[in-house]
Amino acid sequence: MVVLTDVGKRFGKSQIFAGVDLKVDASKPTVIMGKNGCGKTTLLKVAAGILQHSSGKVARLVGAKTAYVPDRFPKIPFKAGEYLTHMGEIQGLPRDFINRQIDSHFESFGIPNDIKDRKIAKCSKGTIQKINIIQAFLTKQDLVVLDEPFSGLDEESIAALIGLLTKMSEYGTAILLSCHDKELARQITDRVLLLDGEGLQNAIFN
Amino acid sequence: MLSLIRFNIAGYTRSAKYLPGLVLFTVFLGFNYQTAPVDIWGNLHLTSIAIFILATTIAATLVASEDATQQQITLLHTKNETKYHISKILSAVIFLVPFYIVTSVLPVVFGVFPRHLTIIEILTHLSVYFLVGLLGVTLGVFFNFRIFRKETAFAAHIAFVAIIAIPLNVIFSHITVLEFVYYILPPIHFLAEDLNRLSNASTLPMTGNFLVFTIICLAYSTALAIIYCLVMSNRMKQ
Repeated sequence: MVVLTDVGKRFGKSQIFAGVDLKVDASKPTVIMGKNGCGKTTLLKVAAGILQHSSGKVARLVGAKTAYVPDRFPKIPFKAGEYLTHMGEIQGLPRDFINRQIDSHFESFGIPNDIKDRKIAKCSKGTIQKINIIQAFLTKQDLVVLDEPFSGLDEESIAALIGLLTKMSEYGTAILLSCHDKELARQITDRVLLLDGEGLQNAIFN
Repeated sequence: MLSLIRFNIAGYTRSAKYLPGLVLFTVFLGFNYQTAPVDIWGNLHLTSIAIFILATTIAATLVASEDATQQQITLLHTKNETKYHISKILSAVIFLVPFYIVTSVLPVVFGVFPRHLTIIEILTHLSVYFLVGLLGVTLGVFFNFRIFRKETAFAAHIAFVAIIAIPLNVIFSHITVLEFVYYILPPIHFLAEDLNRLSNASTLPMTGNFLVFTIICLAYSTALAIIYCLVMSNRMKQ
């Protein structure tokens, strides 16, 4: 779906990462781990096509549908249901389909129905994170990039998200995510990579 | 495109970032119509400049009203960068339509003109506001944080508005070295030159000249919109 070859990224004089080789496809999810500040978020944005790389080569499937789950959900003046409807309509999805998808995701993540009419700014951190995730899964995507998606989720929601990622991967969606928790990473996939100053390495767990 | 415009306008109206521009514009209209009768074409000239300034403000704040991370999410869902950027311009254009109508109809309703306007004249007012507003929007979208730093964007906007509001273009046109500035500035001064020739008795304004003004405005706005899309698609990914 997306292949990065010897990719580097710098902001001004600051080199964020260099020499990264990465292939993300639908065969299994890919998890990126690494210390704070090592450039995971920047790498995910380059893979999603949100940021331009500074060196190397990025090849992606032309016309691929990509969605992104940021680590910090933006401040927006919408109610939850209204926001998700807007995101679905922007993707060209019919209103009935969007409503069914929202209902289904709300059920899987255990979100009460009345949250749809609540302003996102007034929702709990965990609920905001779930809305953040749902906007990316309103329809089948070719590539979904998730930055720290487990942050703020309770155990049931983590299980629901792992289930969703596994299901979408089986349906042919390429999944790329960053995560700090080794156990969670291992539950999702055996393709776990570590980002450090020398690029991406296979993570070896004790 | 329609869904993007709906999303942009819904987010913008709730951000209240349009309020300073709206308040200033309302105060201007209030002062402008305090003394009647008002010269018809002189009033069109003055309100056009006010509409232009309002349009640059609305466009600049509309682009700034969407959070940077949300811009990235929306852009990916849109799957087409040009469509995304054009939607911002169209959203501002649509948002401004009620202002054009109010500004055209208000002096007629309150009878501040020395005579009744014909339907064609009211439509001319509307068309001029639309064209001038389009110019303002396609310029205003440039004053955003991805092109300028936050403080610089504001300063650049104020400086630019001053050049248009205070007729510095006239000064430029008289200084040979700076004459070229007169021609690259938004073509509002062409409109001003036409309107200043007219008296209250003139009934059919700018027939031939208005067509030229329309073509220049549309071409200028289209060129700006293309430059905006090119600049932004580069800046969004930096």
